[in-house]
Amino acid sequence: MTTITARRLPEPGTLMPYAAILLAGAVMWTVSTYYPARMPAVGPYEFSWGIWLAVTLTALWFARGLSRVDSARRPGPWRQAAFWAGLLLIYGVTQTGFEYLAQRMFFTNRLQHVAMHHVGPVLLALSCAGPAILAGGPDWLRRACDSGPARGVMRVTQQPAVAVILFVGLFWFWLIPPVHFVAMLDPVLYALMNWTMVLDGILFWALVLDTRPSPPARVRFGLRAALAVGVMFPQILLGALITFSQSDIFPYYAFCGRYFPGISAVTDQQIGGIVIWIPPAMMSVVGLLVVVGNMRRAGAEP
Amino acid sequence: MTRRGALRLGAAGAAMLAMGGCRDEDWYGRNVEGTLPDLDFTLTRASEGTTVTEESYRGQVVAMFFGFTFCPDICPMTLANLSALADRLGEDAAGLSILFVTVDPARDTLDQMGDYVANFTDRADGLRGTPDQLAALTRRLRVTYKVAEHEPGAMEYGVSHGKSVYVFGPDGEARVMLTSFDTAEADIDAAADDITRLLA
Amino acid sequence: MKYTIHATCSVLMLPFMLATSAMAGSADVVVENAWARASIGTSRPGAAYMEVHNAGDEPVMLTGLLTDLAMRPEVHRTATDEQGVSSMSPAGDIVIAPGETIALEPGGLHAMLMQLQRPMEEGESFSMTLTFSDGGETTVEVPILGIAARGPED
Repeated sequence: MTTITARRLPEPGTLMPYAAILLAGAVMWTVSTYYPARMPAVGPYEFSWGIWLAVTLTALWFARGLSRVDSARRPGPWRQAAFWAGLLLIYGVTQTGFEYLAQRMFFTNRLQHVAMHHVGPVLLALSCAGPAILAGGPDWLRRACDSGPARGVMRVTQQPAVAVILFVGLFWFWLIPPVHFVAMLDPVLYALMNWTMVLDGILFWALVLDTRPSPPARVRFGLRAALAVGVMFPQILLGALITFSQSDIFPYYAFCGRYFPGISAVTDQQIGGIVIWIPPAMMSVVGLLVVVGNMRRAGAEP
Repeated sequence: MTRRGALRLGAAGAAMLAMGGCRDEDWYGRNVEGTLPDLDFTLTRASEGTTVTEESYRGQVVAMFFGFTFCPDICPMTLANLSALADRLGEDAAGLSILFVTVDPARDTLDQMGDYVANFTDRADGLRGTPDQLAALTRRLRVTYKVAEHEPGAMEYGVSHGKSVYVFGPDGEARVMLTSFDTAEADIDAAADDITRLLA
Repeated sequence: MKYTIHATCSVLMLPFMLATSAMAGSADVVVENAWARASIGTSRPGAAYMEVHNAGDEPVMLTGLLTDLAMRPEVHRTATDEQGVSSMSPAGDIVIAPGETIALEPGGLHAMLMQLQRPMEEGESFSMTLTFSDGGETTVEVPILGIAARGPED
């Protein structure tokens, strides 16, 4: 913080929010580390500086950027509402007492993943918050987003084929039974799993729900519609495989103990299978409708 | 492309399954080496009321599990199996520490904890923590526990808890999880082989 | 129809019917391999295990336990067969089909002996009565093994 003041001397008002974010984070970290039993359910089960900073800085820059972007690029009221809902949902499923549940039952874990990969990112993509966040963010953020490596990553990950393989593949990958077992026990892999879910979800849905015609958008409306619907089928297959499994394929939950001991492994898997089956399929349909709406508004051909 | 992606993932999954199978067949317990976090705790040892940490058990193979002394079935069975394990190890049992951590510190006093484990084997220590110490340890090891709502001071209420035994090597590194030590199906000989290997 | 016949019969042959139903049901119950674990004092609940075999032709329903050792003996189920959290709950009435055996064993069903009237000492035994829905009873002598016992043979 002192280095920032020394270098650019911004007015004290701009630094206050950062100080507040760091202070609130420090308080939560302290309680989470030393007084975990006293943490209220709305507080983090396990505090993560990464998630905390990502969520609060995004929120801060978005709020600040709203007044800085021109009206054409300023998200309307319902897009702003989608932004806050999406951000709050992702924060809520990872940094509250729900996280404990998500580690102790398969179906609550699946609810968490659907929120991180489908629902939250769809809301964020709907908000078209990018320009506002960049406008409200510091210079280094704009420079970083404009840098060669960042553009390279985007160019590769926003290829339709790559985007689909990442979107479907990552969701499947973390459910390969031995992978799921290690990811649930190993804190580093666990964090990696959740970060890949959220980031990939945002990348994919931002590509699909882009409001602009192509170009400047990366792919044509017709292909975007196909992407939204196409990812539904592997998702349904995975949901069905898990729902109809008659054996305990994710024993992590049995070994550590289910939060609801009355729910058997197979029942837990059945509910979890339906959770990754129905809501994601609905998000695909929502995605399709939004793409069609965007196309009409843009007056473009599919 | 979706199909190709699925095929690739399927192949990767099969490979990992095979790897997982190979890695686990050597051990009786479920291999969690390099996966589960190391031993790290601060609790109070029931026998003399002193504060102990993972450092207090360096050089020992630690078998840690969670329960409560009012538990009539799972906890005595797990302790009985672990006592049988210590008996089977013979002289090697000196290198094994069985740590029974109560998830119900409100009802399990230090005296009761000490008395309880001493009735099973001298290789076992009863450990009790503050709610914060217990929450930190169970969060680290992903152990579930739930104490049912009850009147303050009540002596009869339900408690649920994860049943696995977490085994750590002499340097505190997580090695295996014994997942059926709460039943008569526990294979004492096979588990003793695991402990002997960890002691070697 | 069935009920009408039943009602008529009951009026005419009530004492006889009671006797036959007891014979057809719980009279054919065989209890084997009973054992219990020694307790530390009387403050904590004890547990007893056994196998209950229905050797008859009709289902029987185990409805309760009686023993002077404990004020509240109940059959409980530890729900850990498939999930790792062990939590106990009263098992309710347990139906044993003809020819079937239900096992009260560690990690599953067990006779939970709440409010012990005296400590369960290793080497001693106590008697416990199983009551069935037809009014029949079976009494079994349960040996008390060591606190670290893991099965009936220990």
